[in-house]
Amino acid sequence: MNNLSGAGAVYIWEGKTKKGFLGELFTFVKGVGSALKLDDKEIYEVQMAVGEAAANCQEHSYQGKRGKIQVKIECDKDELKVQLTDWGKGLKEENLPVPHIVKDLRELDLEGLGVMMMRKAMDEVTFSSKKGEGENKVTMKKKLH
Amino acid sequence: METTEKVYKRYTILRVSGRIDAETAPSLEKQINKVFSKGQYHLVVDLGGVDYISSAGLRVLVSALKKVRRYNRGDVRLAALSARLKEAFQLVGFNKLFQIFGDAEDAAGSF
Repeated sequence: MNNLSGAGAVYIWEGKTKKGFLGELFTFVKGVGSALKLDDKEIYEVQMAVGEAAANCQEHSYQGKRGKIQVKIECDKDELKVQLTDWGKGLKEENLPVPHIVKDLRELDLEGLGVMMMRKAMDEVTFSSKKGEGENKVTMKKKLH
Repeated sequence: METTEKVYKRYTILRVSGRIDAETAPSLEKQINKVFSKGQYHLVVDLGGVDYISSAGLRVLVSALKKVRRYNRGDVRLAALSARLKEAFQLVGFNKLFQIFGDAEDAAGSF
């Protein structure tokens, strides 16, 4: 992690989707959040978004196998930009299921819950893939208060 | 994540601590299914020691709720959620699915 702080700071975590990597990522995000003086709620929401994106990357992009993942967090004045990159199969946005949350349990469909949580925790979530390079990115932005 | 199970005549209290994420959620599911396999469908899940819950963890709890309510066999009631956890449930509307109590004793007393 780069020990820069405040606006313009860039923090990078690189690792593999192996056992315990989600815990490492949580510690990384907490450290960045504290350095940037985010409040507890903002840190939790960023942890949630990063955790869901990383779990998706492990499950869908690498299909449960080990693969490289990079998380980059940038802070620009009042906005936080988080970018996850993997080099697996990727996740196509148009194929993402939309969860149907209803009060009636029998109708409840939880497919796509993780992506929904990412969208609720952050202000903007976009998925992109570069064909040929096998590089997939999830970019998430959050306005800071 | 760690779980501790306390079995009573009319209900079981499962105390959970740590982080419930994609890696640890299967272990929680196993613990809950173990309670159900003994024929006990009145379950209190005490989340007082949990500092984070992911979509995988929420799915496990909702799936447990579906199982017990399917034949009106009982209920899964939640207790001692931190402010952050409450927000996570509210974010996806699951606070409307579960009965949520301030502590495990109140949740157990409601059965």
